[in-house]
Amino acid sequence: MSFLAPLFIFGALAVALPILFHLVRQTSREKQTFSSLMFLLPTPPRVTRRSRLEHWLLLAVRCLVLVALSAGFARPFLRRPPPSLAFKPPGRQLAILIDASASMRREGLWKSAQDRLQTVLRNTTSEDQVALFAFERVLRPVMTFEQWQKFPVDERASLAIKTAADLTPGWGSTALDEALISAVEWLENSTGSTQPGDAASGTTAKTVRRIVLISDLQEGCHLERLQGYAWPQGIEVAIETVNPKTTSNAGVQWLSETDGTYAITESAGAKFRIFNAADSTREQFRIGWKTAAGVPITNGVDVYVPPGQNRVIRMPDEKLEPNVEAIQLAGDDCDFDNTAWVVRPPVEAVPIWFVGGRETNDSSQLFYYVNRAFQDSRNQQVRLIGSASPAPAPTNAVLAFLTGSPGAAEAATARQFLATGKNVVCLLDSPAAVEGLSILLDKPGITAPEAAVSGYVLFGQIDFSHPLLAPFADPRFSDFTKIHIWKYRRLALAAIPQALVICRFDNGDPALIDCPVGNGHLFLSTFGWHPTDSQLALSSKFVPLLYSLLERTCPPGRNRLQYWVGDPVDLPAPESGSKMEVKTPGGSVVALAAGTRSFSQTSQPGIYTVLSANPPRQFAVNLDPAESRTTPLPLVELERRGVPLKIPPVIQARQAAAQQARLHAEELEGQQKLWRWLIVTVLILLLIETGIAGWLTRQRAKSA
Amino acid sequence: MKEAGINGQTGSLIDPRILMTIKNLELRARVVVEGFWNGLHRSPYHGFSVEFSEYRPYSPGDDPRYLDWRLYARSDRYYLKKFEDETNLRCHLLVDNSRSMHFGSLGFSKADYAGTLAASLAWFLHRQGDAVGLLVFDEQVRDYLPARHRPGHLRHLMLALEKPASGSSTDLAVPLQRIAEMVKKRGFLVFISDLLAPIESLKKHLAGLRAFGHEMLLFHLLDPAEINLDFESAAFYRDIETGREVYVDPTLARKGYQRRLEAHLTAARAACQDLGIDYVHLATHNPLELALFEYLSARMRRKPQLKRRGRWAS
Repeated sequence: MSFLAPLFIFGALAVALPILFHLVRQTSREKQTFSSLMFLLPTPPRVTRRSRLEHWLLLAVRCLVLVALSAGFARPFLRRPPPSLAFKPPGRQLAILIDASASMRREGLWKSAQDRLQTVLRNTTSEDQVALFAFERVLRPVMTFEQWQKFPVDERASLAIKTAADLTPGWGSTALDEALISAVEWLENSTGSTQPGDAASGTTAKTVRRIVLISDLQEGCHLERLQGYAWPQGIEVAIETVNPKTTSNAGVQWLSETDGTYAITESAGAKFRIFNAADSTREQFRIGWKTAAGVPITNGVDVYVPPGQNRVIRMPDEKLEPNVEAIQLAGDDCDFDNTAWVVRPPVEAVPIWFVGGRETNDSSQLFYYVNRAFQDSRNQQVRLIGSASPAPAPTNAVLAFLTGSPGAAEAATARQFLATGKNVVCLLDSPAAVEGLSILLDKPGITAPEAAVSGYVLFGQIDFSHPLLAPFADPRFSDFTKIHIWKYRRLALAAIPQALVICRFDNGDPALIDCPVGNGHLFLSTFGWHPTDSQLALSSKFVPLLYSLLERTCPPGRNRLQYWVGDPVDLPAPESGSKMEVKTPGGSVVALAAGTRSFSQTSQPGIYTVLSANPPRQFAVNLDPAESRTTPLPLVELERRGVPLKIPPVIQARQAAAQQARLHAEELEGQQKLWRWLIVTVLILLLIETGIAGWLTRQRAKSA
Repeated sequence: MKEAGINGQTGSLIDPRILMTIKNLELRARVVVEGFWNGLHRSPYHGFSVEFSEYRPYSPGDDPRYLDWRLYARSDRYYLKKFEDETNLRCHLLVDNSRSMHFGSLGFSKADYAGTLAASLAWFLHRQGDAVGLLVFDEQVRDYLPARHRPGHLRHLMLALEKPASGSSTDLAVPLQRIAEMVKKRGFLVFISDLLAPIESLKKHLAGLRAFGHEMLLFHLLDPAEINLDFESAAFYRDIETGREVYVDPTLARKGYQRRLEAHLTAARAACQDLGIDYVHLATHNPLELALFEYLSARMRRKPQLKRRGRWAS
């Protein structure tokens, strides 16, 4: 005998009430009105009869009524074994995603995640299909659905646990959006493969497809791509959140030059941003330099950062070993994000090949102006190289200026220069210069006679959409009317079909022409820039125009100093014949295949050195600052982005089992309906009780 | 001093249980008095009389009707003959209407019995030509009608007796004090109560009334259940006046109760004897005619010296 609502059995305790009433009834409750109690003294009740129960039969009937009533409410039923279920629940497709980002390196988190993973794997059934993925910046399959199905059915969970035991958290950021979307694609791609068991059972039930996410779900995880993602029907996400032992976390970020205007200079030092998590319990930190080997150099600076806020501080630049520095944050519970690696920006030498008159002090020549226009900057040292023809052009020059009348050898060199993807500026400052142009373009017969100019001409049409002139597109800088041109050569464009005129004079003749040759660009000017021909070298447009030309070949910031873990790094072209090699912080040297210009093995933070560059180039790889934002992410943020969340599958499985047992019990109870018989018993007993009580009352009345 | 005990002679008299089935109080009184009247001989006490007082010489302006012509004939002087009025009997009925009077085990309460008794006496006296007054009290005086003999007075008196009880306790001191203040002329006071109050204070105030020269007759009414405590089952006994409840088993408490009641009755009787008050202990199952008889007996005892005289001097 079992009960559907066993708590009602406690109602049988109410049998104490009739027993109590039967005892209490010994004391007469009759009342008699009397004129005066002047002569009446209270009589002590007769205690000898108090403890004796009267009317045993009545009492027994009343107790039975209560017991039967409580048993009826408890809904009894006779337990029978559940019928064997012909229907087997359909298997599930589980894509288990375990967060292996840097924030999982916090104390105890990875072990919790592993435990949770093992629990999930042990709760799988033989019908389930499981795939295991680790993710940080990208989703990495650890065990695919196919591998799972190849495992023996009984050992699937244990083998999967064994496979997962080798996982360790990396240093990457948490790209949760990428991971979820990739997992959805995995699930959708594997939907077609059904298990043989399913086909045999002939069930038509839809397979549950679920992503189980085991993560610390920190605030800094990336969710941007989920915003516009159309989540497919039928795939749900169950979150298994793991919680760290301590919530205090602070991180440090180097604000490198590429991030803004901050720069390491001898006087100013470097700037760092220190974050403190919103749920942190610490506020006082200490920051100081350390060497690459981890030896602290200075005693550091105290920093006060309240929880949920950040501070930017400037650290004085110590005289360290060249180009190798790191900053260390102390006073934090979680140290995975307490080191920021720093490299000094190298001064880049930018050689420019200049062909033509090179008199330093002759203001009638263009060299005079170009030499003064390119000043040394923090990151660049521009040098005009070349000598009187026929000196060979330096191979590492990034830009070439051809003025005067370049010889055939110089023109041929410039042609090779163009073929390697570099840019050449050719000024037709005399009709004779067209010969060099013919060699350069390999098109004989190009003519450029002197144009007849009465007074001066101005620039008419200017194509500001061209990258070269784009810096002048702003109306504040687009006024070229103050530049007068007295002499120019009328170039016949018919001979140069690929030429693109980007600027014309007001009479319609071309002034500036972009002519792609090989991999590079040849910029033709039909007028000289020196003051004999025009006012361009003296105008305010001259220096910006030169830098615009330089940026076409050598853009600033092309050598980034800082990357996040996992970022691909663009490498400079190697010296001809040399191999591309990068030295990692661990000391190993990675040799890249020939032709590879990107290095993507930035899997750990530290200083990387490109050995193949001359001089060797260094860059720092640091943790994504978002990893330091370790405050737990509210699940509603995921729901807001359309992720269909489910309760944790472990709990769900237990609840489902309990619910099934309850349903079976309810079914049995509904079939047997024993409570009806109990209610009938109660009614019969009540009739008997009424009869006995009436008989007793009559007897008492008679005796009275 | 007589006592109409519970075993008193009833004979052909009317059983109070039957009498009380008559709802109208006036009718009940009339039934009692008529039955009693028929059994009596002619009363020697009714009627008016004047008593010769003195002679006074005539002075001009006096009414010549009162000249004693016989004396003039004898002495040839004018004298006026003066008479002394013999006053009518002024009887006041003092009726206790406290809550305790509303207890009854015979189907009617002591208050009903007392009301009927008072009404019968009033009817009887009124028919006799005496002035009857009424004072109904509980812990204070509720109704007071001065002693009169007028055609509508009896009706007012009946209405006052029929009023329901409004008081709670029995306090004899205040009403007795008030009657002493209100009834200045000496008269006859008939006191009807169950005397469920301390005898000491009762005695004190009765003595005061006696000092005024009032003649008094006290009917001490008790229900048979109060006398015998003849209840069967143990129960909580609730005081009808105070509401106090006491658990009492009558079989155990009866003896002590009767002893204390007897002591109370004895004390009341002794107090009345000391003060020269006629005390009648009347159980409510006794016929009312006995009470009337007791009244007349008391009057007889009180006025043996009363002489009947002619209105005019002979």
